Amino acid sequence: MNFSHSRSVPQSAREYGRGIAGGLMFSLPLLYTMEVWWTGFILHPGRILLYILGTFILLILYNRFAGLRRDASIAEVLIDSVEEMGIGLLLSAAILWITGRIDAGMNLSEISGKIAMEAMTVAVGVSVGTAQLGADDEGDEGLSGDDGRESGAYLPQTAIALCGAVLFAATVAPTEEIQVIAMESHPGNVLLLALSSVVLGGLVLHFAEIHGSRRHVARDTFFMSARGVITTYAVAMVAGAACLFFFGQFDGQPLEMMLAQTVVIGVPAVLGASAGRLLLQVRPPGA
Amino acid sequence: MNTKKDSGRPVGKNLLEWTVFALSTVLVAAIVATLGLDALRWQEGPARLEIVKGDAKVEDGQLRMPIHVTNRGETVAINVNIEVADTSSAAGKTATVSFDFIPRGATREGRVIFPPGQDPATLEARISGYELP
Repeated sequence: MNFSHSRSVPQSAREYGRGIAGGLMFSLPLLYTMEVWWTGFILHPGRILLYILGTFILLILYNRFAGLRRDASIAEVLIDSVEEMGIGLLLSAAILWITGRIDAGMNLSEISGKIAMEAMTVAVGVSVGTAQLGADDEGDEGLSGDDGRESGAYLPQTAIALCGAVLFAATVAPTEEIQVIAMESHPGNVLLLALSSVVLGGLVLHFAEIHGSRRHVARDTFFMSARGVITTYAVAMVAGAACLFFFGQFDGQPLEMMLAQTVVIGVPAVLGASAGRLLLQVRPPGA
Repeated sequence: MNTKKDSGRPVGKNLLEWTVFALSTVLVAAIVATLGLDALRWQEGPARLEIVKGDAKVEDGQLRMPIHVTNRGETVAINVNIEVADTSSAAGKTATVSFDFIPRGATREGRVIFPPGQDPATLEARISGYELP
């Protein structure tokens, strides 16, 4: 098995500490959201397993393209992803227990469903927190390392955009408000939301000069800029639709309603895929 | 294991990292196994709600009777309304209790309240309605 780094036990402990802080920071809104607890026992367990698999793939993508160790081997990426899931499960179980959302009187099916539905966002938060909340003294490089020349490459940026979009979309996907807005909005307003999302993505990537945009956003030609904006919106729509599906928001809905909901969630998702994606690649001072 | 050196230390995982990885593997495997078994045992079917009345007690000048509802069916029951009625006379008193959710296999507990002189033996509980997911 190949490893690219070594750490002392105190260094590792600090790294896990950053992961825990990040996990809680990014997922507390969901840990405090009733609809997420409910999906834990309403959804078919097979769909929850699919959600776990999807999150695991997302963690691998993030750890590979934007994680703490850019030069990590495949084995290290897999190990990091499993660890982040484990920490996510432990943290969500602890918070759900402390807040009285799970107890020994509940059956195993309800407990495991609730923990799994909450833990996945915590795991992504752990991954982001580990990479973004420190590491200035540990020799880790992320995308600012020797491979930084690839930092604007299309596929890695698309993968990181997906992570950002999921992080932002997951916080609102379980709420009833998405359905309410989609249901009560005139089709013209839904179209306006879609157009606004595309414009928002373009502004963030090419106008607002957000930290990292020059480095990570391809803008050599008009075609590359347009491809970047369109891809960002497409990624946001895919991430938003996936979140809605995994939180059961599509169940029993007609196709038009599913599309309208996807457009509604596309606004936060596109922010995650554009601004969020750049923030996920900001290295701490000194890194 | 790679034997490269980095900052003077052999490259690889330390004891803490291996421990966290081992525990994480166990946790992930456990949750996947639990959900996998649950998925295999999953059957389509309605919710089957069973009510059990607890021992009524007079507290604070009111008769409080515990109501336990267990869902032995295959589907979660949403907004479950339970009506408890005094069957000793045609114009007997009624009380209701509601539960947001009763998942498959889960039991929820509530209380219905009657005047202190009420005979608990004449109280009957029934499900007056619930929603499907």
